[in-house]
Amino acid sequence: MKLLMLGLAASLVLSFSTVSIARSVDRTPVVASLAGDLAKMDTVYLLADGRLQIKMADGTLQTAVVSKLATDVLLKTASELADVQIDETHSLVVCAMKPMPAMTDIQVSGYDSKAGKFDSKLRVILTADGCHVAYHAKPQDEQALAAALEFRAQLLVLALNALK
Amino acid sequence: MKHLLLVISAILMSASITTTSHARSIDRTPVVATLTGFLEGIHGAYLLADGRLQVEDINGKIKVVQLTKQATAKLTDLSQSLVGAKLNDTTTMIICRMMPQPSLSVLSVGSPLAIVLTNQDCTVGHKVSPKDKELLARSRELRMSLTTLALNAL
Repeated sequence: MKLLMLGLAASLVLSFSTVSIARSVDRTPVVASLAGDLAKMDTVYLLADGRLQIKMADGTLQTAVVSKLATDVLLKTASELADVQIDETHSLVVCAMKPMPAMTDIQVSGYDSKAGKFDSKLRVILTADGCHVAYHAKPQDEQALAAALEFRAQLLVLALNALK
Repeated sequence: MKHLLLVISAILMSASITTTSHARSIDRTPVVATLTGFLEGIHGAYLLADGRLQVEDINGKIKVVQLTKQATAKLTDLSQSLVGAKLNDTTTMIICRMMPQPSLSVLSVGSPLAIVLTNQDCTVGHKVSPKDKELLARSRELRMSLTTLALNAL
């Protein structure tokens, strides 16, 4: 009987720890995301600790670690893009052409410059600019637009280079 | 004894020919694009047609990383779109004395390599950039992509 009680207690402890692990959440802030359709990729997420998570079109996830030097450059650009003014337009008509495969839509997290932290509240700063999409967003300022285009190129090439 | 000497001399001769052949072999893989400047101890990054990225540091040491097929295709595509682009090429007699930001700024593409983009601020006397706005954006994307990959290789 004692043995049975001991066994029950052990299984209870084990089940609690399993639930605890299952419920643990990775709270690393998401700095930016890049979405679209290219090379079977769906969305690329840059995390504040330098991880690059690539969600594939089939739902699988690939993770790569970006070097500290490259991460620092990306985080600096993301923090500068966090509060740029965005031009948004909604067209009522879209053209029927099939878009070229591309990763186009960038979202950047809000950034608290005093605390030096990203808050993971993502905001669209750049979308595709063709007539096949109804919603367009891009930074108002020319320099910020150039920075956003470069940031998109950086995330894209890192993701393409991380594909297995 | 004669046989032994013959065998030894044959082995030595064959080894010396092989060594010479290796020393004289040249990697003839075409260079697709180069990026030079100074950033985080990096002096240059060279993209080869087979997807190798050679990162040269300021001491002349070279680190080589193999890029994926997808990344190589993207970079090669960008480079090829810039070959033969019409360029703004200006030389100023006066430059400002401010210290330039560390960056890998001089981008060259094509065969033979031709500079298509340089630093655009007042710290340099010779400035080059594509005339076409779309190509200018592409050249900046290529420069930033190569910079990021070079930094990621360290």
